[in-house]
This record gives sequence, structure tokens and C-alpha cells, in this order.
Amino acid sequence: MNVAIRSLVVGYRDRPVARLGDLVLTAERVTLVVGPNGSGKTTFLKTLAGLLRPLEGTVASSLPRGRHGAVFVHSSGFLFHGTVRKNLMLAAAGGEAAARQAAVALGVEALWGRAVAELSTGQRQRVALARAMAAAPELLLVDEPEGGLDAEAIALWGDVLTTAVEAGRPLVVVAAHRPAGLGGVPLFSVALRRADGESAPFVGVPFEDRSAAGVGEA
Amino acid sequence: MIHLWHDALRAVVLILTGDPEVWQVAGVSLEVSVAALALACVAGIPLAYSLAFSETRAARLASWLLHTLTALPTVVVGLGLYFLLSASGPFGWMDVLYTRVAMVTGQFVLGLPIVAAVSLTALRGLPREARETAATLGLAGVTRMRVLLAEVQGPLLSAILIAFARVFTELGAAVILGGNIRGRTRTLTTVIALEYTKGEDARAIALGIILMAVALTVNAILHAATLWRPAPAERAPIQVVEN
Repeated sequence: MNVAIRSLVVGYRDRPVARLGDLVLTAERVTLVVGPNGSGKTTFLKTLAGLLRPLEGTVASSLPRGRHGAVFVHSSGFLFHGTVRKNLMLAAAGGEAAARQAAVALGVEALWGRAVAELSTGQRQRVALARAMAAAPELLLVDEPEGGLDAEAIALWGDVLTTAVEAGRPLVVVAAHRPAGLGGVPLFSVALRRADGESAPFVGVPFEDRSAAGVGEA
Repeated sequence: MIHLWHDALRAVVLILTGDPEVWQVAGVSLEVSVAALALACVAGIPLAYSLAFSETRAARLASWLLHTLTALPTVVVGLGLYFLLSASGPFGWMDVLYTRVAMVTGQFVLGLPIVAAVSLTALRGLPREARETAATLGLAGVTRMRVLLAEVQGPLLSAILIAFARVFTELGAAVILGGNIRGRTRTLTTVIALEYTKGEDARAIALGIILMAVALTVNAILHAATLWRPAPAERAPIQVVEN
């Protein structure tokens, strides 16, 4: 499973935000996108997820067109009204067993019957991640997950990533300021940097010299 | 003033003795309004959903039109449909004028814009993340509609209650399209108007009380059903610590 990006420019109808050029993402490394606020991390991830159209260029993935091809997780950990169970079951391609398994992987199985309105921010983010995993996606895009996660959640999330890399699916792309939880996971990193001044689009620059050991403060 | 009290007392007696005609009329009111409201929801909610996420000119125009139509005067609806359904009108062959069917049609026209316009506004107000999450989880068709409507269930219920209040208590369309025929097309509102013109103040008051009671009770029940929540934990008052 890989994603090939060609001459990609992402943004909104009236405004290009970032220029990503040519990149190839593979499932054997977690792709990490870093950059300052407003540099286009979210825009890039949403474009990869198919939620936004590229302004220029193409995104081609080797995954078959299907229900749970690409799943995007918002940084807010958005959940639908109702219970944790409802949210997980909506996503679960593999039925209740898959949903419960995803809940266990993120340490939220105890919250199964709870109303979403009662959850803390961190709990919501965990449930949102669990829901994404329950959908068994080929491509998983996670926007700034480290926000509300505690140390235990970060450790669990790290395990999820390790398993994904070893299994070869899903291909994970994470946008972050501080790459927490990514220690020990092989990474392909892309930094969004300002190129030509205040109003020009950011430019995505892959950097390979950051080893996984160098990244990974909790 | 004595006259009014006298009539009010007689009204209470009429209610308590369960005058059968009064309850038959209340039944017609409910039957017509509930049917019209149900049809307005079946048509209006999917209509709102189909318009909510579209940015086309047609969608914006439809939204404007629906909001404007919420202000349709009831007599205008009654009159308009009367001309359509009368013997010399294009739908005269259906022969539904002065029947409950015509009344349901009139109340449907009154209720539909309210249900659709309020639902539309509620859906448009959904945060972008709701739609994006539905898309990214691969939800489609009826499931997607069910999930997104559940996200706005509060405003949706308000829309339904407001539309019910409007159609249940209106007079203009019911009296023009129903003809106030005893035993068939008399509703609480049309009979109140009738009794008032006959000078039967006691009966008019009795019916007015019943109308208010039914309208308020139905709304209260539906509203309470959505407000029920488990009680939050006791909150201790904040203690100010003296230093």
C-alpha cells in the first residue's frame, strides 16, 4: 500500500496553502508532517483523505476504492452525539467484535456505554482514534493527536502505530507540532516551511536525517 | 363581569360532564393536525436535508423561499386551496373540498415551511467536522441522514412542536376548506368561532379552555421527553478560603 503524490498543491478555492511537490508514502514508515500553525498540515491531510480536492497535482493511492479507504481523525476528537458504543459501531466494518477490539487498543473499553457528552477531552480523542481503527482503514490520517492524551494514551497510541507499521496497514500519516508517542517507530518526515515570504504557500520538505530515536519526547 | 364568570362556570361544567360533541370536535382537531404534521415532516425533513449541504443558487433560493413561506397567512392558504379544489377549479374533480382531506392539505401547506426551514437552518449550523467525519467513515445514504439528523435533534424537535402549534390552533384554512360541517369538519377553532358568532359564550369558552389544554399538553409532553437527563452530581458551594 502506498500513496504517490505528484506536483501537489493543497489549499482552498481562493487560496493555496502548501506546495508538497512529489512524494511517495509507504506503509512501512509512519509519515510525520510537521510545521507551524497555518502551514497547511490539516489541509494536506484532508486532501490525502479525499475530503478536499487538490488545487494542483494528483494524489494516487494503491488502495481499492471502497468504504473505509481513508479515515481522517480531527484534532478536536469530534464524536457524534450519543454513546461511545454508537460511535464505534458506526465505524466498525467488522461488527461489534472489531469495535470492542479497537476500544481495548486505545484503553477505552471501560467507556463503552458512556455518553459522549460526559467524556473529557482526552477521552474523546482516544475514542476518536479507536473509532478510526475500528473502521479498519487502509490509510489513516491523524491531525495533531497529542493534544489531550495522557502518558498512558500516548503509549497505547505508540503501540497502535508499531502494529500498523509491522502489519503493513494502515498507512499512517500524522500531523503534529511535537511528535509525541512516535519514539521507536520508523518515520518519514515532511516539514512544511515558509519559502518566499509572508503570503506565499508553504513548501513541504522531506527530511530523512531525523531518526526515530531523535524524535519521541512524550 | 358577572356574565363572564357565569359563562366560565358553565364552561367548566360542560368540560366536566364530557359533552360528546365537544370531544368529537377535539378529536377532529387532533386527527387533522397530526396527519398534516406527519406529512409535513415526511416531506419537509428530507427536503431540508437535501438542501442543507448544497451551495448552488437553486438551494439558496429554495432556502429563502421556505423561510418566506412560514409567514403565509392561514386564510390566504385556505382561499388559495379553495380555488384549486372548488368545483370550477383544476382539482375540483377530486371532490375533496369541505372534507377533512382538504383541511389536512391546508395545514400541510402551513406546517411544511416551518419544519423545512428550521431543519434546514439547524443542519447548516452543523460544524464542518460532523459532515467530514460522516464522509470519512464512509457513511452514506440513509445512515448518513440518520446520523446527521440525530446531531440536530433538539432544533428538529422544536421545528415539529412549533409547526404543530401553528396548525393545531389555526382557524383560517380549517374553516374555509372544511366548511365547519357538524360531525365531519368541525375543529376546536372553527367551533369556537361559530359559537362566538351565535353568542354561545359558555361553549366558546369551554372549547377555548380545551384547545389551550390540549395544545399545551401535547407540547409539554413532547418537550419533556427530550429534556429528561440523568441528574448531575450534587455541587458543593465554592468555599472561599481566608488567608
